[in-house]
Amino acid sequence: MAQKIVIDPVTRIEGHAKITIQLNDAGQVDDAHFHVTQLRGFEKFCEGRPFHEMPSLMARICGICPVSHLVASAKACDALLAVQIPPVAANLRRVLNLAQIAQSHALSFFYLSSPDLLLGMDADPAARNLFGVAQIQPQLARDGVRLRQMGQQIIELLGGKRIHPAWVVPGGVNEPLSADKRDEILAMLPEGIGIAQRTLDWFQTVVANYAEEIEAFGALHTMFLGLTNEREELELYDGFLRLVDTEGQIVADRLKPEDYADYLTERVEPWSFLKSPYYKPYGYPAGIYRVGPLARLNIVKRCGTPRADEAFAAFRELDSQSSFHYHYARLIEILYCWEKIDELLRTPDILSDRVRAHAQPNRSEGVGLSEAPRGTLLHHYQIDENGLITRANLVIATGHNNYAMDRSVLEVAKRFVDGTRLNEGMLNRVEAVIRAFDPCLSCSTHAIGQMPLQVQLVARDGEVVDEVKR
Amino acid sequence: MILVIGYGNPLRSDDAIGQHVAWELMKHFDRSDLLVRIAYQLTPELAEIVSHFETVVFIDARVGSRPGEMVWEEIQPAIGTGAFTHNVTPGALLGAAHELYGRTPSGLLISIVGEVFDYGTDLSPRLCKMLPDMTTMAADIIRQYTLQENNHARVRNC
Repeated sequence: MAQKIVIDPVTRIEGHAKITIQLNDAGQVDDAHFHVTQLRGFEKFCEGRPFHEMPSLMARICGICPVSHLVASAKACDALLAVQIPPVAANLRRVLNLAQIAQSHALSFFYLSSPDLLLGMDADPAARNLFGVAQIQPQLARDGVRLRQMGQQIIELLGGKRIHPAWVVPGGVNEPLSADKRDEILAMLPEGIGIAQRTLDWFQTVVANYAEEIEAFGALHTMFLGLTNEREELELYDGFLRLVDTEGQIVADRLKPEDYADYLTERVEPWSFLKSPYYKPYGYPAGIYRVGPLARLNIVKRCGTPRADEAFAAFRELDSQSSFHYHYARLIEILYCWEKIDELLRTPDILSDRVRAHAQPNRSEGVGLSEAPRGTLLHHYQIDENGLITRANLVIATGHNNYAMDRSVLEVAKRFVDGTRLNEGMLNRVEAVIRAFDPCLSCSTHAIGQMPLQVQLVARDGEVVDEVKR
Repeated sequence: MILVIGYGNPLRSDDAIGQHVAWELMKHFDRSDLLVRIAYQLTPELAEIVSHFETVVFIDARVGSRPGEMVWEEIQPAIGTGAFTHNVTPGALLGAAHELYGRTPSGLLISIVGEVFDYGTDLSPRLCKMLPDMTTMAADIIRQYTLQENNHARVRNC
């Protein structure tokens, strides 16, 4: 009798999701889906609001990565003003974005995924958390806390508060950087670089233990999309989009964010509130791609900072198609973020007081794009003659990865799940592939709450034949 | 040393009562051994800071039928339990201070019943009016609690 396994909700991710695994009559995995079950509707309720409110409004989409929304939204507003913001303001926004990416990656790696990596996929779920990590390797746990703290301190120093800072505004930022704050941030960075390097060294010692997961998480091959610049380096704030195929060949290059509707479109699937964007010329599903740290490192030639480039060289020796290596890429990006902040804060004019361009709206439409921790983030606004929003379209990082996550669940379930006898390790691997992407479902559906795990084995007639609760 | 953490969402009216009382304590509660910190929510990163103090007082809002009612309870560290993501309970925070840094401050949670939790940056008129009295009361609770803790410590040291 065909049966269905439901993992609801998926744990140690940001937001609410469900996984269903459909079994055939022999108890083998037949199909699987990743369902995003929350709906928030930011695109709709911001209609009618003045455009200059958008950065603050959009930042409320998420408490983890509000800076990403702030930056993408402010860039869309810059486009509405039709101004080129002062270069110092762009660099200050970069610093803020880098600090946020580092702290968000630290949350993903240390808080959510390191328990799997240190304790093993089959460890007791009660111990598979940061406390479990602390008991075995307390320094690793403390490092995670410290990296988060540092990122948040930098955000607070620049933006005035850790969550939802209002410092980034249409036209630039609303206050220049002081020498005291710059020096305070610079003083933190050596510690951050040391932690990132130490964690990378540790990760390289354990990654070989996960050969089977690396292979299974890599069974799905897709294209990669991300920002890069003229030097073909890792770029998280500005530049052009590049799409590469599974062989690393460039499919499309120098794609302008404002033309996104020409080459990207979204598909709605019945099993999820989350839309699936794809590359329009290739159609669906051939046009599916991944975004985020793994994609960013697969589309560039180098990172552009010394230590990150050393780690990048080792990364490129791997099977960099495997979604398991999102973890590796995330650590390299943490290292890059600290190095890049250091570089930017040492530019001669970083303390300049020319940090904002003032203008009235000069266009009725604006697109802003930047790289968020989880990938490419795009805000597109249309306004009326009074500057009120008439339409907003947000293409969110986690959304880009939706189809890839969905199909990865199937690949991993096929490899590890035996429908005739469920165990925690099997199901944790199915969840772990989702965690590797670090989805932020609060962002992508534009919720909070408890996230217990309930797995049910349900017969076709609806009868629950097995159940596991965590 | 005492750390007071007043937390809540300042865009949800009375949800921020903990922040307001903490601010008032900072302004009017003349104690050199007291540090006040304001937060939207308790995050794991606070564990490191918490670990440096002997006593941590959490001030939060809660729902109830008698707006302005203040209750307090001692918090025990929750060791090794629960998810540890971006939002933690007072007990989990004390537990994290113990697990990660080997130090466990004593904890006190003061919670205040709010009346209005709708969108808004101001306290409800009722809680706004009660704020001075609530601050005085919170100061008294902290004073009594720390006195009691010091007495316990003296007994433990005998």
